[in-house]
Amino acid sequence: MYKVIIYFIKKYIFSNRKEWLRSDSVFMVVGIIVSVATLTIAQAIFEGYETVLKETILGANSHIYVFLSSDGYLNKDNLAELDEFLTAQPEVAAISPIIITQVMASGNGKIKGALLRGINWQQENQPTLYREKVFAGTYDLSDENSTVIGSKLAQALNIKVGDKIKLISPMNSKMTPMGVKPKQQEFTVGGLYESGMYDYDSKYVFVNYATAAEFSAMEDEFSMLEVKLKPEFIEKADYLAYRWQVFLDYQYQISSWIDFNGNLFSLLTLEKWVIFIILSFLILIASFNVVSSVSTSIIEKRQELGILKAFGASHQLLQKIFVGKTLIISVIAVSLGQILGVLIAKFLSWQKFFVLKGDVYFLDKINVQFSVLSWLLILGVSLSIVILASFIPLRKISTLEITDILRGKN
Amino acid sequence: MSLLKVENLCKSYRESTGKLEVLKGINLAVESGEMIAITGESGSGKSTLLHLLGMLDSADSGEIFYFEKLKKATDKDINEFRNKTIGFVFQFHYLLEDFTAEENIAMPMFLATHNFGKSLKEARNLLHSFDLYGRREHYPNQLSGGEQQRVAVARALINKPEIVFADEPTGNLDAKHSDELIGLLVDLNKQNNQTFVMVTHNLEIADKMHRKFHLEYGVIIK
Repeated sequence: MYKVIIYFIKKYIFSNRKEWLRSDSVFMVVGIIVSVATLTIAQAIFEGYETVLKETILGANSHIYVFLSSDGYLNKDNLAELDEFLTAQPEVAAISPIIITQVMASGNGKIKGALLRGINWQQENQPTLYREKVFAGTYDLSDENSTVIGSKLAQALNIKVGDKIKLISPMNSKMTPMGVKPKQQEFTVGGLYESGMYDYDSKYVFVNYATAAEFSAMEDEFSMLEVKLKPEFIEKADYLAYRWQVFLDYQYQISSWIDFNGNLFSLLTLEKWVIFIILSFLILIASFNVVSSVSTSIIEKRQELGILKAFGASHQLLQKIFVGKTLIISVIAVSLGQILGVLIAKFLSWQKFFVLKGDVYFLDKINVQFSVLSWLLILGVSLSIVILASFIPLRKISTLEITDILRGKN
Repeated sequence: MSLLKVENLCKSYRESTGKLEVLKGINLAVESGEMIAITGESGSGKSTLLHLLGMLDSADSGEIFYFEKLKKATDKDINEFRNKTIGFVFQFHYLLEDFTAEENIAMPMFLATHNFGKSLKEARNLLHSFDLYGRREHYPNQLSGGEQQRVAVARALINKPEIVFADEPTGNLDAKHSDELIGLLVDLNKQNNQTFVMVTHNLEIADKMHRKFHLEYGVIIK
């Protein structure tokens, strides 16, 4: 039977009458292409945004943070205990203590709030990737007056590598006859980094331990310990944090990147699927054209179908011919829609005139990503809707009366 | 044993003005190898009778037997029966516009065997015998009226049916092509013992058949 179906489909698609150039066929194909392209673009942008945001967050931050449970900071004894415990864990890739304190950064008459991060800049394997994100100058914090700042902060203060920046910390204020004087120090900007995350690039100021300790009035103490996990354990960070917290008898408060960003990624996933469902309705609307086109085709071929029935063709066979024809045209239209969607999405990620507001969307660039799963999903959903729509007018074939056709009745 | 036997066949249609009785108890028998003409005025029920005999429509009452076996248009195997046992030639050729002459002729056999090569070969043999081989790759709109109707006859014969029903086959042809077509059918009957039941209002054509029935107001009067 399939030989007959394929033969008829070939004949109808490549017929001299160019049926596929009929306005209803063109509207059907264009409708599918546009709706599938829209769905593809939306999925590519959401997936790209989610992936890049995750990569940026995980690259810019460590995966697990260890604080002291009680008030206060981690001292040398705590660090020794944690070092012994964490280096024995197979999931851990790197650890490093860090000092964090709030400061004000000023330069060229402008002032911005910032976070000072005192780090062991010489450590080979660091829990964060800022060293790799330096795009101007160097990541050298050997000098106590040297600093590395984010690109957005530098932009806001109009600062370049080699310029001076003043950091002001209220944490280590001194009483003077003139009143309370906050700790102030002028630094030379030795390097600029860009993590891709607006929030980080406009906030973090890196200095060495000694400078950070002086600024925050912390002696032999650290704000927290950052832990980097091996890639295969990153998604299990919340479980590991809980397990270690229990193992260390709740002496430390251990949090993971999932605790801080989990809601954001859950929201993104939810949004992605909601958008997918909403945009699938576009395909549903496009499928109305399929109903119209198949109906027109059946009406136009009514006489032929009647004659084929008179010569022994079952209505099931005739219905399969129409479904097969619609399926082939739909596969082509959906594939073209996906290709068009990929091209437009690529263009959006490449162009520079339309950018996101980094302070609102975290990232200022449209990123796109295409996964096989999404491609298959869009193909499957689109074809299912279109093929189901093509079944609606097929009833006309089964109710076709040969004698009505021979008598010239409509 | 009669090839076809009809007993007390009745058919009516519902119309806005009421029930229209088209056939009122038709009885007839057709033997294998016969050429039968059914004549009558327009509206006498000739085409309706042909459609019932060809299982294209179902009767209100009465029975149709092929080789003494009861047949109904609602039977499960009716598609196969229409494909293999019966051939049709209509007043209008009803050739498929997207298909060439040889493809049109091959169609009933292709539907039956699903073997396009074999069907095409058989179609070409028929095109030779109908003197249409040179027109085999022509589409219906590239053929003359006479050629179109000869292709339609060839299509009706490709599965070697037991009986061919022809509904005013010359109705759209001029006198010359009409004579040619009837001559062709008569020759086929003589050479292959092909059975034909033909509806016509042309009494000259009816006279060339072995037997003729005249329908008037839904009954056979002679």
